[in-house]
Amino acid sequence: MENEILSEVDEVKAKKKKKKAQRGVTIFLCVMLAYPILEFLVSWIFVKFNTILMAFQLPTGEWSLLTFKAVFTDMFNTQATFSLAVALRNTFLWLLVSIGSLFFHYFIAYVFYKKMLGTKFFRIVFYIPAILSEVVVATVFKNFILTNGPLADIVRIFGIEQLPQLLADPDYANKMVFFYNFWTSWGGHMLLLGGALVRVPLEVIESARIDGVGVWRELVQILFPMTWGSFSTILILSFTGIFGVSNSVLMLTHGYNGTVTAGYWIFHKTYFEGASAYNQVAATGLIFTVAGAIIALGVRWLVERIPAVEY
Amino acid sequence: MEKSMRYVNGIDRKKVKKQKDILSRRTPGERIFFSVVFVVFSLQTLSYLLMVYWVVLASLKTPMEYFFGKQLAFPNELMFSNYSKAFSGLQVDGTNLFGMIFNTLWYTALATFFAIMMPCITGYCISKFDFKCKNLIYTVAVINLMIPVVGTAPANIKFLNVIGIFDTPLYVIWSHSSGFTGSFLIYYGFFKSVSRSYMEAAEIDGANHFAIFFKVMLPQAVPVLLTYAITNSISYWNDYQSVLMFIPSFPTLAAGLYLYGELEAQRMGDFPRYYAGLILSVIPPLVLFACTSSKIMTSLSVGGLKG
Repeated sequence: MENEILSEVDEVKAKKKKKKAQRGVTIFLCVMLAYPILEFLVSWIFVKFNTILMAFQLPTGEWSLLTFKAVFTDMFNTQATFSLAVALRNTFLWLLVSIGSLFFHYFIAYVFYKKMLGTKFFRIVFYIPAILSEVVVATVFKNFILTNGPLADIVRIFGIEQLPQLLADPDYANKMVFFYNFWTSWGGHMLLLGGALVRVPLEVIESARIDGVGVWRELVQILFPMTWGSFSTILILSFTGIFGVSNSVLMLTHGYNGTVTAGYWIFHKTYFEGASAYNQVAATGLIFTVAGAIIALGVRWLVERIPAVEY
Repeated sequence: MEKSMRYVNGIDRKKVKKQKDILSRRTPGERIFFSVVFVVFSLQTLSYLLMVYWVVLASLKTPMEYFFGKQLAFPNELMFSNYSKAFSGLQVDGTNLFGMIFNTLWYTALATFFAIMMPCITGYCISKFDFKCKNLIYTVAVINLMIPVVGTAPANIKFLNVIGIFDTPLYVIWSHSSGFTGSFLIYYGFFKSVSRSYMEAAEIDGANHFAIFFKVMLPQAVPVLLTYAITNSISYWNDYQSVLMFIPSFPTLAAGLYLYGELEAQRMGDFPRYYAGLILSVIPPLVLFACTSSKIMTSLSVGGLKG
């Protein structure tokens, strides 16, 4: 009888203790998660949801589909050099270039992985543009290639008397913006791709070398499939962020001469044109969000069809 | 003794040597291939160095010499005074270089602190505790990351104006305190891999959940936090588009130098002084990188994605 009472008391004590512990967890979670959840909800309701509402309004606040009409008209305006049509063309062109660059970055990561002479030095040099301000790097580049800049002095040695206005001439401007972005991106994804390569078991490489496998087969048929997980993640991210790409256009050309991209178009309208363009930006953003979601999910689905090598 | 010689800073030298031997074994054809790559990489490095050489020279010239002299020629007289003039002369809306540095410091510190801490907190809570809505929160957070909403800046400006924090330092806290950014998934994965036994041991010792998080779990995440702190602080130091749009009255170095550059381009002003300002602005991130480059390289490589 006494034992029963004691065990009941113990049970009650244990229950109380458990309840107290549970209360401790609840208080902790409430305190720690209250702000992040509130922030998430507020930013969704008042910013993201409001963006959707603004897309269906005029600057006066009236409900209308006219904003969408204007956006779609601009999307097919191939005559102007600063239009959504040009922005979309450049954005998709940049996507192609960045996919090509991703393969190039993979190659650079491979060369570093193979401990080429000077790897440590090149790795730091190529990474430096990523840690410097775009304002600094782009300003130096822009002034370097001016018609009275150092590049003009250099090409004069090779008999070219007059350097074209590379960023002011529509024939060259876009190519230069693309070149600039490629030129400064050699350190891109180097760390993630390098990390993935390092984790491939060395025995695999060792036995392949014994079997007489050369650089090309080692890279394409062994390492690439084994690091597909990292590569495909970066690939998906490139597609996910496609409409946010601004490509240093603000610094180089302000989007003129056919260089505007989707991301820059949004910045330009918001920052330079202000409240009168807000609804147009919201409508464009909504279209880009839907298109971006379809593209991102489609690419993800496609990428997942290719199985990753387990090791 | 032999063992201590083999391990330096926890790195197995024998294993590293073996790895190096395997990876740097080359056939004659491969040697030629890597030599060509070396030349290409050297040319790329040279192109970077040429720009650095030119901008440093340009920052030491007089405006006359800069506009009318040979661009790659050495200045007649080294105008180190351009650097001191940069501090007093580079002004945007009444903010000089000192003001910009001050704005950059607090902007970077606030943004970095909140951007690394909030996802750490959410990552910990969602990975280590079972509670109602846990899966819902996780799923919504992942979808939110997968499908970014584009064009929210106007609605954001309107909202910030309504709550009265547009163009104030509070904006920096608000906009960087999201707990569900991309790094949330990294912290989630990290804390998931940390054994629960640490928590249980601390609980037996009488620690409450706050103490467990701040005194037991958070110190374990220091390497991840530090890596994010370094990379985030560099990117916030260089951020200028958000500053221009949301806190225009507090120009940071990047935003201020952009605005000043626009003015200089219009009036064909004192470019050498402007270049001096640009060079001064890159010193802190370069120093931070120089001090932490090995940390960044190894942490991000090791902490990267598998496969």
